[in-house]
Amino acid sequence: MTAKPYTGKVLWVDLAQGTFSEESIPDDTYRKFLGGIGLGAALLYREIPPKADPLGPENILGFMAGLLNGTGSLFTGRWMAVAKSPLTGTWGDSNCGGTLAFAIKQCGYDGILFKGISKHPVYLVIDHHGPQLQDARHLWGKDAVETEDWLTAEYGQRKHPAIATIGQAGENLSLISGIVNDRGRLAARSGLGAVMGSKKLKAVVLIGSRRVSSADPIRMRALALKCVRAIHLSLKYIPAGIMAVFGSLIGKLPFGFTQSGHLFSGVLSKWGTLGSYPSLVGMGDTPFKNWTGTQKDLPNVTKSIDPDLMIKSEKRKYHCRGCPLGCGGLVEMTTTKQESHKPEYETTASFTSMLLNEDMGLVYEINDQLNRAGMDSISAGGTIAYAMECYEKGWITKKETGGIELTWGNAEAIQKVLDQMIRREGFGAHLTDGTKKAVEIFGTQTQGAAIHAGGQEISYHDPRLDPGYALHASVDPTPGRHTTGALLYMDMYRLWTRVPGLPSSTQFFKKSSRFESGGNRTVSAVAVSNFTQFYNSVGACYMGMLIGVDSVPIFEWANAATGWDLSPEEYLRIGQRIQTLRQMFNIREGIDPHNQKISQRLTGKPPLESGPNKGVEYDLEILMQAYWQQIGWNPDTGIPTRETLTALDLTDIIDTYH
Amino acid sequence: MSHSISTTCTGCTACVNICPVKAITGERKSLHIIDTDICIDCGACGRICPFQAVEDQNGTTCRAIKRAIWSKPVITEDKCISCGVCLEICPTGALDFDEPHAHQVHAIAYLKEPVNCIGCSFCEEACPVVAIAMAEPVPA
Repeated sequence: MTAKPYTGKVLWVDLAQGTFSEESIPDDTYRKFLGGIGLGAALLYREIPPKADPLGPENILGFMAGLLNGTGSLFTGRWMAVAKSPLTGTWGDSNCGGTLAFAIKQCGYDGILFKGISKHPVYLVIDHHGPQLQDARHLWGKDAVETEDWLTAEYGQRKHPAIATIGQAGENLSLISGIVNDRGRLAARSGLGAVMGSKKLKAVVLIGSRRVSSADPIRMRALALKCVRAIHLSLKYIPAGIMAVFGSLIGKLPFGFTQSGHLFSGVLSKWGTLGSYPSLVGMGDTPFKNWTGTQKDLPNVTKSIDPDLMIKSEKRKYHCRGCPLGCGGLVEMTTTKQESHKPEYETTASFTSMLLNEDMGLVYEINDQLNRAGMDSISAGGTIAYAMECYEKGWITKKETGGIELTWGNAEAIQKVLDQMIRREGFGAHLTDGTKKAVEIFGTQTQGAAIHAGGQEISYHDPRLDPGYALHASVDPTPGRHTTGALLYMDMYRLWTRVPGLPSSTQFFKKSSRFESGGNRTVSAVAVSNFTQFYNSVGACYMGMLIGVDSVPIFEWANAATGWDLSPEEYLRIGQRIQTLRQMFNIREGIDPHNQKISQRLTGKPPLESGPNKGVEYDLEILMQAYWQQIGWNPDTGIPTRETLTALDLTDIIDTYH
Repeated sequence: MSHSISTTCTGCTACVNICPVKAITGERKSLHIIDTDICIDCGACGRICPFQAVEDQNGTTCRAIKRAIWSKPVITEDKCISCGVCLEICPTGALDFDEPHAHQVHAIAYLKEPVNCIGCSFCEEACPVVAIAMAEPVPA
């Protein structure tokens, strides 16, 4: 019998009854949905009734392992949280690295899914003798790190347990809260921490020791060894300042060029994601002043936010399981002397350029605070930026803020408001559910300052430089995300090297050509979407995928682990099936895909008056319609057609067409 | 199939004490049983049993080996990519990351608790880049 990389079962936990049941998953389901986000979509579409309250007992929260977690493939250490999102009302998912993904499978499951609401706070433990729910009342109110440390002391006598938990933000049902693992890594987006909080589920503790098999372990290793040799690029002697010069140069040129995944891997390995900050600022990718400004608003930012300074404070690198790069890092906080994760690019952009703050020390403090509280740094910074713009324009005054002077760059004010957001107190209580909810409180006049897609704040990559970010943030069933696609990603994934017929990227291109719709751009955009669903289902990291599939053999690993002989086109077809099922989840909820469109400001309405993206304005609706048509959804409504559902073999799951 | 215990078992409890997942139960001086749902086939019970009462997953009788010469992982630093898969797979938590050496920035895996190592070779099997080889300890 061929060894399989999946366990063939998931665990259902009924928190209301305190009971457990195992569900066997047939082989065919893995062939159709792989695992991770795909298997999660199939199960949740079946089990969550339409119009369920996201914070009610009918919503289901799943912790899903990817098909390739623990099989010997590299860059495949991601697990996925899935649920209906309370932030957007859509399908919700969020993924994270660290040690949890492998641990789910080591407990003997491909997914752990929670339904119902517990009467009091509990945590789940799965050890060698199976699952148990334990009283967590003494942990409620503790931050994520304190909780994890307590549980590690309790259960980590020999093997270190993998732990996911919520902090105070999730307990307080903040709609921008996430789920924390490995003492400060977050599955941050879609507000899934609030779903966990609503279920009174404080933590999940995994202490399994089962091995994960693969059909062809020798081939898995051969691929891994070849991959490690292919991606090695040392930037040991390259200072971050050169990256800033490189970015500024690109920002000034009228043409762009395809960026190198190998250079990116070197940046990640040396600095982590923050290493891209100086170059992205120069290119015009990093937004300033709630997306209204440019680098001129913070001229010294690339000196004050210096990745070289950051790595001097790094105690050691941190790798997710199965990752050869190690973009994470652990630092010692100067105030508490405690260990903390170093800030990522998104957190740094969120609390520096977006708010016109140059104090990197504040970013370290806030990063640690958000990681402990379990709050999404993208949405938190974006919501404070909204409030600062409202304050500048007089829509919010000191009367509303309770005396806080919410001026741009005011570090003390940022800290105060964030404290209140985490505790859901005072003025911060109005911001703790994100910008869309804040508009309901502060009035429609503030609508223009609320930058989101479908209710989720936008990650910090400017669609006026790469409209692919706007397109994917608007058409993906989980709106507002940067990880779902961009034009840049097609260049870097290099899918055409594995999928015959896909257009290759040109080495150089006119920047204005990026805003054209139809043709190769649309074919590529859909391929990126489908590939994203594929790699999220096998548990792969998008940073690793950006190195390029010709260097990181993800399709080949999928076949070697499973014993299947599927072509990359067939894997992308599976991705299309998952993308379409997620979209149908939203359609069943009665969501109009047009309403998930990104805020107008990011389509250049009004255009910026200076900077690399000066004067850029484009029609997002045309790009969306072309995408919908290409993927097989109605180009006017964004609803998958009957023909597409039939062709993707989804009619057994979707029995009612809406 | 998992490991199993035959009737030659004397109930000495050596296997109960070594099993990393507590899969073995039984009263002292009575026949012990391995829970097949829990057993992870690490083979430690077979190596420790002085009465050759354990059969492996293929039905072969396991031979007792003096614990001092059980194989332990030897990690080649130049090959280790710091991915941590070996730490995760180790059923006894015997491996950890070392503090980075002066010329390195990425921490390398090492056998932190040799006394906890049960010689299962899971780490060797799981290492994606063949950086781990099991070897008999060299006497000091």
